[in-house]
Amino acid sequence: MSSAKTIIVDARDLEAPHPLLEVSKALMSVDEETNIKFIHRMHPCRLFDILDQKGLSYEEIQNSEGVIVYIWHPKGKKPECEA
Amino acid sequence: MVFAGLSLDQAPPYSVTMKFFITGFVYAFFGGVYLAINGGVFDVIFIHLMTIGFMTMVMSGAVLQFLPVVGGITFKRIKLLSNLIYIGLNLGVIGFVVGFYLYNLLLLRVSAFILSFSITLFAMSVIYKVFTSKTKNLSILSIAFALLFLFLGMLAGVWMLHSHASINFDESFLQVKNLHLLLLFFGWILLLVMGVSFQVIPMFWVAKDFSPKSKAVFIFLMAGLLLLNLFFATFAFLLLLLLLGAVYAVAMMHRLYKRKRKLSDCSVKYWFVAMASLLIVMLFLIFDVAAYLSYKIAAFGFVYGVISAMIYKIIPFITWFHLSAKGIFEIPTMKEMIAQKQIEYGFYLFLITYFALIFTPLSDRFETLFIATFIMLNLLHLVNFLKVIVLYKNIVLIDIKK
Repeated sequence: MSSAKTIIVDARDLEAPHPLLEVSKALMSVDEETNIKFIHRMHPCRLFDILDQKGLSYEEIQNSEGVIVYIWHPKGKKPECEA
Repeated sequence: MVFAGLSLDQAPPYSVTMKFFITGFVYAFFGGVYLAINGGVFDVIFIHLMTIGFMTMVMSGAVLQFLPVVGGITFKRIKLLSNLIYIGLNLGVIGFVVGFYLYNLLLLRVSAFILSFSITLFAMSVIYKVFTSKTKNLSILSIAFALLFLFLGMLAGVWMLHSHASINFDESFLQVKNLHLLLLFFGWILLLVMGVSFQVIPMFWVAKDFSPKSKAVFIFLMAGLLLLNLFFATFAFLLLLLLLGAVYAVAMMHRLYKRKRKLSDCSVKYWFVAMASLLIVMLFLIFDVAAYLSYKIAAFGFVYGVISAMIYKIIPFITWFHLSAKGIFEIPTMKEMIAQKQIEYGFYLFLITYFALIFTPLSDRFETLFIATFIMLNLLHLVNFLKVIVLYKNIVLIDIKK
């Protein structure tokens, strides 16, 4: 079982640019022990450039909740990405 | 820094898109002034001031912003490309206005040549970039299709101008004129609005996103039916096209009505008016009634309405985007950039203008009211947008001094 802490950023009810703003704030907390579960109602097109520039790992999945992006530190453990 | 990763590499400079938006509304304002002097909403000068000067100008600016920011599609020499398009559109529209006013065929031909160059450059650059890019989403594909139809519509326009020059207005002129209208309304405007709306409606109005399948059905059916109409001009294909337009309008209104956050926002009211107008136009055309009224509803209720809805989100968003990418902390929120009361006044002025336009055949007073309110409406929009630009410049200036 993973001991990493997950920050949940639910931006489904926020209009642009607030989803990006909220997840950008949360990104500052990402380290080997802390990852992010970002939930949005659509594909966050600008986010991935930011993640690539910061060198963070991520995985995007889509389910009934909306679009979920799991973000973690490359040296940290990959979170369980529920489909 | 929160937005340190928000790269400006992909976004065109602030001035690139803003100049298209401001210039577009300046042409709309002068369209109103022209009507005040000459009258007649179906005048060829007024129509081209609105379709090229206003609609195509604003939509071109939006495309140049949308492709890099949403689609990750960049142009190496965006300033040069945008300047060539911008100068070409300006010279083209001014040449058309003066050419039609003086009925100078040489000037009309030169303007058509410049405009054709500008539109061809724009269309081909975008189509090439979209089809050679790795990232393709349906909104971006719809933009490429829309530009292809703009190019084809332009060719039809050039053919019509050639007929003007040779004073040849036979049956084929009317057929090409219908084709010109069909390509530009359904291909350039409606397809572009569709593609962009699929992206911006969930983004700015917190409505549920359409499934990729639904988006694909709308976009490919619209493009396919238009092509079928080009080669086989049968009523059946036209009917399907009109039905698709009607279904899109209803689907959009449903999405907006069911949106998650029903905050009071005038831009959403513009959307409802625009989509209801589109539905009415499609029904009028299906039942082949009220042709002239349909044109007015399509041009003002739908196109002007939808541009107003989007522009009041796009301009504050671009401004926020550029300021945050510069690493500036103290940025007003998008809602603070333009006073909500001003947007509300604009919306009610839009409704009065719309009402007056519809009733212009009943009395000259309605035409006078339409012209007066149309001038005021465009002036109000211009003041609102210029205030945002001033705000942007002031914030950047303060930041530099720090």
